[in-house]
Amino acid sequence: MRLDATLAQASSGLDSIGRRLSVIAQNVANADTAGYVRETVPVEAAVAGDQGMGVRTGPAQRRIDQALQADLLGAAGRAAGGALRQASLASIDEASGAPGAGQDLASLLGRLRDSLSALGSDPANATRQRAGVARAADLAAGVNALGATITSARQAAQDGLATDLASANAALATVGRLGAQIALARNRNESTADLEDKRDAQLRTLAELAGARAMPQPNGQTLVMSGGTVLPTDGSDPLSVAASSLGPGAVAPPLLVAGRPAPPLGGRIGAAVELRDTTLPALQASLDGFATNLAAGFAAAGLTLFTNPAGFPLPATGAAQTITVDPAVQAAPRMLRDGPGPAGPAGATALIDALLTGPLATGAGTLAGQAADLVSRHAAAASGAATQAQTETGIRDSLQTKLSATTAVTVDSEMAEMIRLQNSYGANARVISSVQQMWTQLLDSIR
Amino acid sequence: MSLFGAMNTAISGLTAQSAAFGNIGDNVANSQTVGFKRIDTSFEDYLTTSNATTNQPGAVVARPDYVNTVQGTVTQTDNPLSLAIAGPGFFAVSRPIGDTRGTPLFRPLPAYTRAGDFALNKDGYLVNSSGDYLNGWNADAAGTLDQTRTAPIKVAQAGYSPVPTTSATLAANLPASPDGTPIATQIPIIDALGRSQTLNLTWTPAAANTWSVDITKGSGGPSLGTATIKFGAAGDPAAPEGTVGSVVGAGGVAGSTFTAGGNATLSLTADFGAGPQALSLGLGHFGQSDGLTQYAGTTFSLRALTQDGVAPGSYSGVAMKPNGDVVVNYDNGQSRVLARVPLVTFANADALQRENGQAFTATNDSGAAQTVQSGINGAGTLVAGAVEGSNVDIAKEFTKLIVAQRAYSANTKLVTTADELLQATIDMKR
Repeated sequence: MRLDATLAQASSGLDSIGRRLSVIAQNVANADTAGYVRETVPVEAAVAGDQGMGVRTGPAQRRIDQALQADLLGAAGRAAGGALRQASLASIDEASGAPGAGQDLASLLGRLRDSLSALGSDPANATRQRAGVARAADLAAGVNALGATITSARQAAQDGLATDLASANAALATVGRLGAQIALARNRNESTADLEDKRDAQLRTLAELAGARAMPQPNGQTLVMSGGTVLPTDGSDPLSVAASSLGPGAVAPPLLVAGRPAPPLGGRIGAAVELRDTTLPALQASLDGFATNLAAGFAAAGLTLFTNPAGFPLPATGAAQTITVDPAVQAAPRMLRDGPGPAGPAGATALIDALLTGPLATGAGTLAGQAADLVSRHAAAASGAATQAQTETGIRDSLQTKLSATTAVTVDSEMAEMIRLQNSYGANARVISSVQQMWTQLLDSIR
Repeated sequence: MSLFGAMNTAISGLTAQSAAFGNIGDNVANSQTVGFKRIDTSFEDYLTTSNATTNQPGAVVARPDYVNTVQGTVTQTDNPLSLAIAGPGFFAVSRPIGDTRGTPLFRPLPAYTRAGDFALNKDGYLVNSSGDYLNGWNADAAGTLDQTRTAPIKVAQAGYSPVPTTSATLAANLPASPDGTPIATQIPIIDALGRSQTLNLTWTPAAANTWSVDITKGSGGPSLGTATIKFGAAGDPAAPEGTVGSVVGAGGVAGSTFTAGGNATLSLTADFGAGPQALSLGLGHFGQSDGLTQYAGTTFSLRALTQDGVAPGSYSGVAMKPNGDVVVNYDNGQSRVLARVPLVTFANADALQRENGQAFTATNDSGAAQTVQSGINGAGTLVAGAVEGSNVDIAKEFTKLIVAQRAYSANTKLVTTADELLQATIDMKR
C-alpha cells in the first residue's frame, strides 16, 4: 500500500472520530433535555472498487420505537383531556359543597325547613318570619351560585378552547415547516435527528391538545390526523371557533377544521368541546330542573315563594341563575304565614304546615331528595373524572418511562465510547506520524 | 570495435537516462495532481551490425511508457459533487474554447479525464479543476435518460412541478360492532396544479361484515361513487374473518376483483378543477390484515395513510449518486435525476493522447470510445464524494531515481574511459 493512501485512510479515521465525538458531546450535553433521543453515527468501511479508502461516517441517526411513541402520544392526549375534565368538574363539585357541611343545597333546604318549623310554633313572631324569608333567600342564592359556577365553567371551557386552538394551529404550522426541512435534509443525506426531536415535541403538543396522531409519509413528512380528519400543516390556521359569551342555554359555536364542522377530536380540545356542549349543559339542566321544581313545589302548596327577580315565574332554562325570593314576600315576610291574601289570624299555621308537609317534606322523591341527589351527582362526576384522569396519567407515565428507557442518554456508556474513540484517535495519529518518519527515511536515502 | 562507437553509445545512454530523469521529475511534480497518470520510462536498444561474428555497439533510446490504466489513490473529500472512478474508464468531458454571450463553446474533439473534482460553475455546469465540463446522458422532462449521446450536464435551478396523486393507501380498522352511525375519514390528495384537496370517505355499516363507503370530493361535495366492501365470511369468496373479501364499486367507483393476496383497490376519477384525475385507493390485500380490516372495536381507528402526490417545490441543491446519477433536490423533499454520468472505456487506454489538464483524447491506437454505464461491461464503479488522486508513488519514483542516477554515472564513466583510451591511442605516436 502506498504511503499517501495510508495517510488518507488515517485522516478519514481522524475525521470520523471527530464526528462521532461531536455526537457524543451532543448526547452528553442533552442527557437531561426532555424529549431528546440519543443519537448514533453509522460508520462503514469506504471502498473504491477493491481498494480500501478508510472509513465513511454517515449522518447522525436516532433510534426510537415508533409504535411505542404512537401509544404514548395517544395516552398523553387522553391524560390531558382527562385533566381538563377533572379540573372543570372539580370546581363544580367544590361549589356544590359536601353533603351536611352546611353550604350544600340539601343543608340550605333543611335550614329553610327548620326556620319554618320554628315559625310554626310562633307564627306571629316577625323576627322568625324574617328569618324564614332570609333562609329562603339563602337557598335561592345557593342555587344562583351553583348556576353561576356552571356558567363560568362552560365559559372557561369555551375560552380555553380558543387558547388551545391557537396553540394547536401554531404547532401544526411548525410540524409542516419541520417536515419540509426533514424531507430536504433527508434528500441531502444530512442528519435529521435534531429536527425530528423538535417535530416530536410539537406532535406531543398536538396529541395533548387535539388527540392528534402522526401518519408518517414516505418522504419524511408527516400527516397529522385527528378524529378521521386531516389537520392541514400548511400554516393556514385550520382550527377555529367563534368567540362567544355562553349564558345558560346558549348554543355554543361549532369547532371548525378548515371552515367545516369538526368531528369529535381528542385531547384538551375534545374534552373542552364535550364539557361545553354535553357535560355542563346536562348539569345546568338538572340544576334548572331543581330550581323549577322548587318554585313549583312552593306554588302548589299555596305560596309563590320563588320567582325571577321581577316576581314572574322562572324561565325553563336558566332557572338556576335567575331564581330569587319573590320581591313581594321579601317586602312582607308575614306572607309566610298568610299566603298572598290579606293578613290572617296571628296564630294561623295552615300554610306553614302545608309548606312543611309539601315542598319541605323529607324523604325520597322530595325536593330534599333531589337536592341531595344533585350534590352527590356532582361529586360522582368529579370523582369519576378524577379517577379517569389518574388512570390515564398513570398509563401515560408508564409509557413515558418505557420510551425513555430506550431513548435516554446513558452518560456512562457515552463515556466508555469516548475513551474508545480517544484510543482509536491515538492509533490513527500514530499511523500518520509513522508515515511521516517513513517519508523522512525515504528522502534521506537519496544523496 | 570502435571507441567512437562506444562513446556514442554511452552518450545515447546519458540522453536516455536524462529522459527517464525528466519523466521522474514530471511524476514527482504531479504527485498531488488530481487524476494525473504517471509516465514510466522504458528503454529500447538500436543495433548497427550484429551477427555471429561481428557486433558493433548500437545505441539506446528512452521511450515513455504510459500507464493510464493504473488506479490512483481514491480519497474522500467534503465536496459532494466529486466523483472518483474505481477501475477502468474515463469521464467524458468537453473542453471550452470560449463563449458567445454566456453560452460556452466547446472544442468539437471529445476529451476524457479521470480528474473528478467537479463543482458547479456560475452557469450551472459541472466543471473540474482543469476547467473541463462533465458530459453525461441527460434526462428529458419525464426523467428518461437519452443514452444515445452525451452532452455537458447543466443544472437548471428550476422549480419542481407538482405531481398529482395517482394512488393513496389506507390502513384502518372498521369496528366489528358498529353503533350504526356513519364514520367519516379524509384522504389528502394533490391535484394537477399542486393544490391540496381532500377525498371524504363515509363508511356506513350495511349488514353484518358489510360496509358501504360513499366517496365525495371534499366535505359535503358531490359524490364520486360508492362501493360495497365485504369482510370475512360475507366476502365472495369468503376471506379470513375481518379481512377484505370483496370490493364492488358503483357509480364512478370500480373495485378490484378478488384474487387471493391480490391488491384490494378502489379506482375512481375526480376532477378538482384541473382536469380529470384518475385515483387508485389501496385498501391493502385481499384476505390479509395489512390494510383495511374489520376487527373488534366500536370506533374507527386509522393506522396509516399515505398518498403519492407531491406539492410543487423549488430548487435546493444538487447531489451525485454512486451510480452516476446527478440528482437535483427540491425543498418539498423530492429529487429528480437530471442526468447520469457514464464511463468511457477504450480497448487500449494506455495509447490515449495526453492533453493539458490531465485530459486525454482518443487515438487510432487507443481504439474507439465506448460509452457505458458505470459498473457494467468492464467499466469501473463510481465513488461519490471522493476523488482519484495521482497514481504516482513517490517511493517508487525515488527508487527509479536512484537507478537512473547510477545508470547515468555509469555512462559517464564509459565516456571518460573511452576518452582515456582515445588519449592512449593518440599517445602511441610520439
